[in-house]
Amino acid sequence: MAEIIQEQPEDATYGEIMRELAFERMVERGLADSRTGRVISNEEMARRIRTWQK
Amino acid sequence: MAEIIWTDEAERWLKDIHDYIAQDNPAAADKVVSGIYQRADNKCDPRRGGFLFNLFSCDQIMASRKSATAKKMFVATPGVLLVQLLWRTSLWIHHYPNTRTISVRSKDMIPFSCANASALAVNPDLEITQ
Repeated sequence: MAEIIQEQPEDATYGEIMRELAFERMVERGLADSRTGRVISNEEMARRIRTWQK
Repeated sequence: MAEIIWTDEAERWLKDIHDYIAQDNPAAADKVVSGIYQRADNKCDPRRGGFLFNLFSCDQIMASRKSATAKKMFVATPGVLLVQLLWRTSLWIHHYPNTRTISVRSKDMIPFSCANASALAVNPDLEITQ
């Protein structure tokens, strides 16, 4: 986290830094899901979306 | 042909998007979520110019490429392209095992309000052009 903050430009706003940190977190979560098999197929995703839309 | 795999993170965010919008307008929620899904699906259609990648507002792409996150991602997992919507963020992962170059066009707007998106190639062989 400190590395990300330090790499931001000097004129980075608080909002920009927070977005970058949130981005990092989401990417890491997605990659962790991918590495550990917590994924579903595109077809399964479509099926699950249909269940939400009832 | 590329393959789309949805991560738990992606599903969680997409469900949040749906539930948030559905509080006020269930029909709109269905439309938005279907639109996001369809956009992801279309990206794998070779009739859309092979693997030409149509995206939205790409302001975040260049900024993110300079970040520590981007540097890490570019060497993380060969053959994976991450796509992220930055409005109530959704994340899904595309596998493009044979793709060398991905072109990103900033003028292709998605037809709903989550128009701020970014893409990062998680492969040193991939190149994002704009």
